[in-house]
Amino acid sequence: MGRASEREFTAFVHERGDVLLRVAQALAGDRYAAEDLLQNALAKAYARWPRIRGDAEPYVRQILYHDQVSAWRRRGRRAEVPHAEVPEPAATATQHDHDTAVRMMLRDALMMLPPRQRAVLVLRYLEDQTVEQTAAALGCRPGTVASQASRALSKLRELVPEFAELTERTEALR
Amino acid sequence: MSERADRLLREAVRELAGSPHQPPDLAATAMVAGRRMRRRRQAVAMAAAAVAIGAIAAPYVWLRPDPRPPALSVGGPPAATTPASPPTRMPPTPTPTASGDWRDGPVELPGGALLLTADSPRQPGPTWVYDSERRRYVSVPASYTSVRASARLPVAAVRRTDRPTEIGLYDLTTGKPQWFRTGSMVMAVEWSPDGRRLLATLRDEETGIYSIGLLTADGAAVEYYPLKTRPTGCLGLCRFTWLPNGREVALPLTERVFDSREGNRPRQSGIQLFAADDGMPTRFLPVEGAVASSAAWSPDGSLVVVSRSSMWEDGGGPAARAGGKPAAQGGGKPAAAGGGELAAQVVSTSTGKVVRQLPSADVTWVGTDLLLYLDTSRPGTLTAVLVDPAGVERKRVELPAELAASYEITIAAR
Repeated sequence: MGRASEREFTAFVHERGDVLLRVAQALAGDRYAAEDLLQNALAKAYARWPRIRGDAEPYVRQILYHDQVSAWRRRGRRAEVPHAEVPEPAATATQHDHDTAVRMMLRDALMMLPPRQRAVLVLRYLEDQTVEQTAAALGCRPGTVASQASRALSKLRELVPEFAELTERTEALR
Repeated sequence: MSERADRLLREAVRELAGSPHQPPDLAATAMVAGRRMRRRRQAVAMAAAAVAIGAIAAPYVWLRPDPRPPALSVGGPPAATTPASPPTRMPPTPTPTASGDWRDGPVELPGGALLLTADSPRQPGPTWVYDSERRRYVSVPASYTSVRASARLPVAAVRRTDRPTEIGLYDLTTGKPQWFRTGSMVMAVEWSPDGRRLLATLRDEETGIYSIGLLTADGAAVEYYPLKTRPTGCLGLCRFTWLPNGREVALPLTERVFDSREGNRPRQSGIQLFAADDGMPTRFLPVEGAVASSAAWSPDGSLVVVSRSSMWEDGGGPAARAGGKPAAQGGGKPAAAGGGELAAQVVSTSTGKVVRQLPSADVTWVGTDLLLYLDTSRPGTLTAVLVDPAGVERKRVELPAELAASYEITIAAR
């Protein structure tokens, strides 16, 4: 590949690198793992640049998701973090404080999900992808996305009872 | 799910994603790795052509169990001192072995260097490693995803995908590995300049903290030295390289490490050195860029070859820091809107001043004033090019055609 391709690729990374790193960080959970994940995805993208140059970002995103889930498959399921590590909210909290506390607990709880379930939530809630788009990105059927999302939400409810209360209260009112 | 629950979950996912900023050399590092991947694929496509060219360049025979001692290839082809501009004629090839198979003897490279390892053109395939005791190349099975041979001992450090936290020492004589658990993800390994100690870049999966792992070739145990610093970002990938002194290791960082006595200082990127045997920060070099391997350091440590994107070249970049005055991190901005080029540079480690541009950052210093790189610009060929730090080409030798299809090749200075 020539200098023009290098310039194109560098420009692409310069423009979209932060956004892609954000996705990688949501998937991997920490900055260093995210940088490794993204570096690898970008290397693969560069190796195929002439073919994907017009549609590079979806390609890189797909590799990010695929590699994260594959790496997890290779390593096997991680040990779950004890439930007690999720912080408790303050007893006399306002709704704003309460929401802040729930959000923080959710963030910690997200890290305890298996990467595939977390990937589904990242695609659905960070990238606003439909079930079909999520299935396409993960290379699975829409039904699998739905079941993974359901399991992820169940796990979050289990880990963060305050989140469960919010969802159950609404369901009871319906 | 309620709107409030939906909103909170959405916010939590966004918080998890954060607002990270890409390391400055993200593109440059990805391009280096991407080029290697591309070569691997091209290798498969061009295998037939490469074999045909090889048949012309040198008579090869397929490796077979062979009890007779291999013929030693001594000396190289006639010197082909050329100017820095690309030559139009075919460069000479190494002297073929008596058997005609490059694996039967050391592949000598310009500057007295030696082809140390070459992986198989067909993947998955074995990696060919030079066994200094038998004076020939022996195969290490394809089941190892990474093979790093010692330049001094008949042993190679190996890794496997299904053993991500372990390092294997593969005995080239017996063909058996001995595995060592590290407890952390093994990101990379590098042999020390004397070829007797193995440096592993280890990353704790839970905390993300990097550690130095040291393993002596006699294989007693792995020693761990977590870096005595708070976490900081790496410029490109976090991978340790040895300094030629064999006592310090280097990590290209986006922020300098300070101890408490120094107080607050401006952030700056550069190469942070650590003591190999305790992880303490020792020196900071005002050099920006990614170091491809330990072989990129000149023997006296005064120069290093780095790769970096030219988009960061401006008043804050090392090119403009002839006086050694460092710039604040993030001071750089793209030289041209929307892009930049990958640059390989010889840089002074004391001042950060760029001494010379090079065609490749994947180099091996073979003397105080000579370095070697592999030219892959001509499809189907792989050429070892000897240059001096001024960039003047001294010699150019084409490697056996089969090697042109290798994905990864390592070179040892002698």
